Amino acid sequence: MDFDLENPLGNFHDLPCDAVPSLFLIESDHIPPPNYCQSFKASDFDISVRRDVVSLISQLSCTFDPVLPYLAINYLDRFLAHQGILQPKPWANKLLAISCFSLAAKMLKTEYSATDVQVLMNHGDGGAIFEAQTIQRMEGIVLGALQWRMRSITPFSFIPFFVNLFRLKDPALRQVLKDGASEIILKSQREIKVLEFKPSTVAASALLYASHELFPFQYPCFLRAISDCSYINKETVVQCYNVIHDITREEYESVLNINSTSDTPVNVLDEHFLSLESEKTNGTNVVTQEQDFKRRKTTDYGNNRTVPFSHFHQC
Amino acid sequence: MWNEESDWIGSFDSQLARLAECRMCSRDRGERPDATGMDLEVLEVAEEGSYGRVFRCLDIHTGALVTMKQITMVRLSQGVPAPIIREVSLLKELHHANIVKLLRVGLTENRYVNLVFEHLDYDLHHFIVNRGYPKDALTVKSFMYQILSAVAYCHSLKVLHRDLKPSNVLIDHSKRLIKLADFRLAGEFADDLLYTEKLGTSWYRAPEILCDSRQYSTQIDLWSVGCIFAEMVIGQPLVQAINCRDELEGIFKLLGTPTEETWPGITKLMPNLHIYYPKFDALGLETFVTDLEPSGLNLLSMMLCLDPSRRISAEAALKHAYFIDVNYVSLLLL
Repeated sequence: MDFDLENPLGNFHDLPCDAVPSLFLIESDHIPPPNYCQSFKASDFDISVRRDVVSLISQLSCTFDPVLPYLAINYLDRFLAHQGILQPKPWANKLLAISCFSLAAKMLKTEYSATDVQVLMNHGDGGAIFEAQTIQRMEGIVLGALQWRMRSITPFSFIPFFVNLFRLKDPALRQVLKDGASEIILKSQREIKVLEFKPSTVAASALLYASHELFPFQYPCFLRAISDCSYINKETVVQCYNVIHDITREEYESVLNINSTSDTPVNVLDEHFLSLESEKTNGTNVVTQEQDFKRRKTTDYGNNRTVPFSHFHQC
Repeated sequence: MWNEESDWIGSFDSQLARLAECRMCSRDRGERPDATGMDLEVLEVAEEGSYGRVFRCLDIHTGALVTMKQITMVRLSQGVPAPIIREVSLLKELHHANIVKLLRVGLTENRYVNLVFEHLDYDLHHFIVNRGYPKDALTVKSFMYQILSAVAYCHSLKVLHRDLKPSNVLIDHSKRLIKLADFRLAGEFADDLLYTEKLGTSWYRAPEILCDSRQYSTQIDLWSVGCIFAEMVIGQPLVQAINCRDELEGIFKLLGTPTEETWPGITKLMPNLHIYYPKFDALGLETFVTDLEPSGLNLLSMMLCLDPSRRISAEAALKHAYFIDVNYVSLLLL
């Protein structure tokens, strides 16, 4: 998404080149601090409470643009990082969920019905109706905790930049890749583990994961483009890619109700990073797509440990 | 539970809500300003505006002078108003030496958003009127360079100022430091105010705004900067008309009534152009803006270009030959 301060989180557009350094420099201001994840790991209760509030926000947002719950959950995490852990009171969690949702909707200029929100929150349990002023007070508390920095640079802000690096000519293919990466970003936000990574790292990893699924033959070129980007730490992208891989596989397996096996698939990203390093060591300069494809064929041929071709699709 | 005020303001449309705000401000005029929890001592009311009031304050902890803008909230049934949240979020992301800094934000109960800004001694309007315009050519050049630096930064983030004029250019006199202020027109406040007719509001407006085009972009700020540039040199506004129509006529007298050749698309934008406006030949900027060196006049003409698509950008302006002798070291030390 565009780094357009007047229309935060607006439609996809190509970034103006001169705005990119600004994005990378200040993105850390828009995520919870590094110790936020550690504080959650210390307590299963806290994790389950966060999950409950995330679930409430998702209920409120189910008919809206998926970016809205993403932004609301970002506010939630930044608020918790600032204010400490949640009270074990269902009504307080609901009020916080409503306030984060409301603030995100306002930033996105999304119209919603306050009455519908109340009805959804009280579905089935006859809970309290919140006065408008109560919600306003809570909004004020969240705004203060976040120092009114509601713009929130998210992984979506970086997708156009990285997609441009991939040099895909066909606009339809670019859109497919963007959509795939966006879906991965939305799914992974549910898990606390991804919060350890900066938005740019999450964006790069999600795009690599999506490109591996959608464009396996071009994947090595995309990988090289990401590796060559001076704003990105390669090792961190590897870690984030693995987290995303685990999350996506967990969801996949839960859908199919398959027991996990002891036979872990080869980590494709690690292999290709090693391959790239090897190329650089050997002094290889430019590798065309065709040559790269040929090399992989050669590698497959006669190497007993190589994963069969079908495994690239994680089936 | 809470003492919920009746939401009578919510029943008005946006125009009436704005009038209601003014009435609330009038009613408040005799009251003490509400700076609860801000740790500020209010010294004086500096300004009354349609969006609220501006106070000169003392920060109790640091002893520093600050400016507090108090925005009245309306439509409380929807919580903190969305335009205010978006506007403050925008201000929070602007970090530049030549943009006035928003120090902190406070909410008072059900009534106001208080924005606390750093304070500067003067604005350029007072500087021109009270101290005689900056006759020193190097001061004009330094001020212009700083204004353009701030504008280029904003435009790189796709932020338009939309209301650049001397009173929104603040000056730290001892350091000769310039800071742009009053980004209140960002977002949805913008279009309403841009097209209102108020005395003095049209003097810095780009021609594409004056002829009622809703299609505008960063170029409108460059026109405003050009007007400020001229005013610093000649000591008064370049075209001082009382309404948009007359302002546009004054511009056409100065630069020539546009044609399809000089401003492609103008006949679509203003189909009745030649019915309402005589066909003026250009008098030329040099007849009005005397005492400006040739390269400065050249830069000014590129800013005050009728055709927005050919108007110079802030980034390009900073590279213009006019600034070739700006002392970059002294600028960096500011």
